[in-house]
Amino acid sequence: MPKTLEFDESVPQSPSIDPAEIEKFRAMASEWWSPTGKFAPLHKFNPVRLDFIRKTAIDHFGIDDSKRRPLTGLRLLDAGCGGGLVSEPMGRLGASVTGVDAGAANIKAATVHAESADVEVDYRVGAIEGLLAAGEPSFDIVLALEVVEHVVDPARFLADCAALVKPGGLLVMGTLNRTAKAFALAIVGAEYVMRWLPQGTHEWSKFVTPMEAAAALTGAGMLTAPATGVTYNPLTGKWSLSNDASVNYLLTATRPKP
Amino acid sequence: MSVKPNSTEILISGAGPAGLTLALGLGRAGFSTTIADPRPVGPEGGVRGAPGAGRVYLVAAGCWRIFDALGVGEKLRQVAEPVLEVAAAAGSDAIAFDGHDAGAGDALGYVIENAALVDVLGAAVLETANVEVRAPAGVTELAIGAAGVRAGLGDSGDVAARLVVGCDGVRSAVRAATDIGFEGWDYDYQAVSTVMTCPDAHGGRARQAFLRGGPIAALPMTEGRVNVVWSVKSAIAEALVAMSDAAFEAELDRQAPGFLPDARLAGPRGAFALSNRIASRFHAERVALAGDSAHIVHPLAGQGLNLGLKDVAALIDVITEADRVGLDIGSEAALIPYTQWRRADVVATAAAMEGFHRAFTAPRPVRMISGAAMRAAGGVRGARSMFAKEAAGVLGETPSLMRAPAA
Repeated sequence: MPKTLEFDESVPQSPSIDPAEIEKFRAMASEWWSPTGKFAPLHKFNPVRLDFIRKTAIDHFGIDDSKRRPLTGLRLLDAGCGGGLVSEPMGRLGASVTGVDAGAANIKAATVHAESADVEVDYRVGAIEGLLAAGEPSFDIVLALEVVEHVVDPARFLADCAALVKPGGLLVMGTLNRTAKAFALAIVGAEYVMRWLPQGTHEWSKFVTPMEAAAALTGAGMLTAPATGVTYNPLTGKWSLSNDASVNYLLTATRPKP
Repeated sequence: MSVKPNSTEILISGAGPAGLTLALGLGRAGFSTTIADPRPVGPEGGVRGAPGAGRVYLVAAGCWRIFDALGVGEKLRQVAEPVLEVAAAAGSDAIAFDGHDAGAGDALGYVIENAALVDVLGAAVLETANVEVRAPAGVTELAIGAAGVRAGLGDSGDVAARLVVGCDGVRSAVRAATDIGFEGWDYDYQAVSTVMTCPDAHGGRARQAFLRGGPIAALPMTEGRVNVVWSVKSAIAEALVAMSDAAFEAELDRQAPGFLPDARLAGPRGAFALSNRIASRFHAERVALAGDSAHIVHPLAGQGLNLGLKDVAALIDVITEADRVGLDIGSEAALIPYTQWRRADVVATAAAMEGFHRAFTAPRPVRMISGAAMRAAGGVRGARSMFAKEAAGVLGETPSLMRAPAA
C-alpha cells in the first residue's frame, strides 16, 4: 500500500518552547513515552497505580464507576509529573489537570506529548511551594507519585502537597519504603542487576516509610488510610496491589471538611 | 489535506467474521468505531462471491459465548448446526465423546457457513450504536503516525483514528504498512473442501479420520449436509478437484470406507493450500492485528476462526482496560499486553497442529508407529482433550466475553 498521505504531526507552538528546540523535546517525549525504553519499568507499573487512583477517587467522591470520564469536574494536581505519564491519563479520565515539575525539560517534553495526544493538561515548571506562595486555589485531588524520594525535605514537601488539598479532597502518594528489602530490590536489583533504572536514580537513605509519610500528612491536618503495597511478580512480569508495603507502596489521605 | 477527515477512536479494516465481531463488541463497549471494507456489509452483502465465500467454520462452544455475549448467539444458532459429538478414528480405532463428556453443555460447538455468519453479524453491526459502517469502501491508503492514523477510503474520503485494527485477512494491507513480520512455512498439502449429503442423518457428529494420504474431516451442517475437508498432497488435491463427481464419490468411498456411507456431492469442490504463518507481533504503535492478518494455522482441528474470535475478545478486554485507566488506546504501552496474551496461544496451537500433521503424514513405517503410539498413549484422546478444553474455553486466560455467564 503506498503511504502517500502525510500524517500531520506538527504541534501548535507552546509559548514556553523555542521552536528550534521542539525536535529535542519531541525526542525526550518519545523517550519518556516508549514502553520499551529507559522508562519501561514505569510503564509496566503505570496501569496498577492509575487503576488505584481511579478506584480511590471513585470511592471517595461517590462517582458512578461506569462513566467513561469519571473524574470530570475535578481539579487535579500531579506534583512531580515528569513526562506526564500520570497527568495525561488523568486528563483523559476527565480531570482538569495541572502538572508541575521542577525539570523544565520534563515539562516541555510533557507539553509536546500532550498536544500531539490531544489531551489538555496545564503543565508548569516549578515547585509545590511556589504554587502555595502564589496563592494557587486548592485541588480536589493531589497526586505525589514516585517523587518524595527525590526531594530534599520529604516531610515539608508532603505538608505542602497537603496544604493544596481542598477540604473534602483527596491526596494519593506513592513511593519506596526504607526497608532492607527495598534496598535490595529497588537499588541493587533494579539499578545494578536488572539495569531497569540508571545507577544513582535512588538514594536509599531518602526513602520514606509509610509511618513517616502518614505522620507528615496527619501533622498537616489530613486523615490517612493504611498503606497499600504494590508488588512485582518476576514470574508473570506483572505488578499488582498487595498487602506487602515493604518495597513500593501507595498511601491515601483525605482532608476533612470543616 | 484541506478537508478535515472524519475522526473515530478505532478504525477496523475488514468486515469478515473477526472484524464484524470486533465492531459489535467495541460499539457495545462505547467506543466510537468505524469499520471499512471494499465489499458491502449487511444481509446479502459481505463476502458472497469473494474468495473464501464457501468457507465453513467450526466455532467451539467457548468461542460461541462471544456471540451470545454480544446478543447475536440466538440468531446465529438459527443458521448453524450444533456439533453434539466428535468422533476421531486412526486406523481401526474409533472413539467418540459428547458434550456431557467435555463439560461444555449441550453443543461442543457450531458449524456455520461464512455467508450466513457475515450476514447476521453485518446486520447486527449496522444497528449498533457508536459504529459507523463505511462499505463498500476499502482502506486504500494508510499513514501511521506517532499519535494516530489516517486512512484513505477511496472516494469516501479520509478517516482519522487513534487505533487501526487489521482484520483484513492473510494478505493484510494494515500489517504491510508496519514492520511486523509474517513468517512461517508451507505444506506440500492442500485441503480439498466440498459440501455433501448423506442418506444417514449426520446426528450432529463431527468426524475425523486419519487416512493414508492425510486427514479427512466431515462437519455436520444444516439441512443434513456435511462439509468435507480432505487434506492431501497438492498433486492429489488437484486430481480430486478435477475428477468427475462420480469419480470423487467413488474415490472417497475407496479411501475412507464407511466414513460417509453413500455420500453425494451437493456443492462444488475447491482446494486451498495449507500453510502456517504467525505475525512477529500482534500490535505496533497505533496498530493491532486480529484473525487471519495475525495468523493462519493448519486447519486440522478447525481452529482458525476460533483463534481469531479469541483475538477479538482479548483485544476488546485490552482496549477497555487501557481506556478505563486513561491510557491512550492506540499507544504501544496499551497494546503490549495484547501480543503477550494472544501470541503464545496461537504459537502453541500452530505447534500442536504441526505435530498432528507430521504424525499423520509421515512415511508409512513412522505412521504405523505413530498410529500405535496414538493408541498406546491416547494420542487421539489428546486431540479430543484439546478440542474439549478449547470448547470449554479453558486454555490460557479467558477474555471476559468468553466467560461462562453467572448461573
